[in-house]
Amino acid sequence: MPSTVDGIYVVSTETIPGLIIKDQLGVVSGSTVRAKNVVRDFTQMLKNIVGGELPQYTELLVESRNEAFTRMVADAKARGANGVVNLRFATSAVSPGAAELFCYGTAVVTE
Amino acid sequence: MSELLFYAVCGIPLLLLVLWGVFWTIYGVLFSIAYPFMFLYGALTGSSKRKEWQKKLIIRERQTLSKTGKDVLSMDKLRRPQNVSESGVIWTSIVIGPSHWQQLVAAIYMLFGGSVDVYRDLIALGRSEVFQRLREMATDKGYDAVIGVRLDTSMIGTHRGKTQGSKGIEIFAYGTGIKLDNPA
Repeated sequence: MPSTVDGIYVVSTETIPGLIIKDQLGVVSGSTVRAKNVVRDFTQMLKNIVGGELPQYTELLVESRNEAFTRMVADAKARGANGVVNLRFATSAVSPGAAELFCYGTAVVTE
Repeated sequence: MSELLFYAVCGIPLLLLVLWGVFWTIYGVLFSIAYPFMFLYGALTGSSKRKEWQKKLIIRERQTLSKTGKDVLSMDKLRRPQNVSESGVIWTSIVIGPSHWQQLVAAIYMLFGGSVDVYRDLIALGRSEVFQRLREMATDKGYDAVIGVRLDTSMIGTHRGKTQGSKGIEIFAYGTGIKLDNPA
């Protein structure tokens, strides 16, 4: 049996391994727009002059994706689904210093 | 009494304004002194740092490969789902900022068009790094394979105008990790 996140099976493939999909309940999604604070922006700007990885932004985006993912799972739960298949992520920079992280998938009911 | 009130009402904002001005002046002076040195540092150490990173990455890739036997990542669907005992979505990302030197070189490249090699090298290395992080994450969590792997690249940053703020390229990878009952 696949493991669950908050009672929901989430996979990025078309099927949930070991389970048969009975019904689909449409597309569920979760999104978040996050920004780091001014101080972090400043330190990262200095780091950017020299080049290399910008660890604060990496951290920010991973945190934000966790949040978007949690919201999507909550959405799926509210629809009465017990699984999400075909999970996809999308990112867009809505304004300088802020990024929108979007996460979507198909909510399904399994047997 | 009314005089005191007058000074309080007009003086405090004025003082704050002056302090604000002094702060930005000091910042501007310090920044313009430090900037050329940082720029030069980035320009001089950039390529050697990249080579070092590449070397380390190759060593890490070999380590995971010797542990797992074959590459755990694949874009495949599942062939024999009855074998799977556990699954879960994993994701990881990296934000790389091209140094101002590299941005300058790229801008010169772009004048003539064609392949912009500085960015290509950087992004190629970032992709390998993010794949390696996904592999390490999967092996740390005890997954035998990762299926349905996807990549996503996007520009993020805090541009305000051309020189202010930072410019970051985000490379993001995700997939479904699976544990197999009897890996064959």
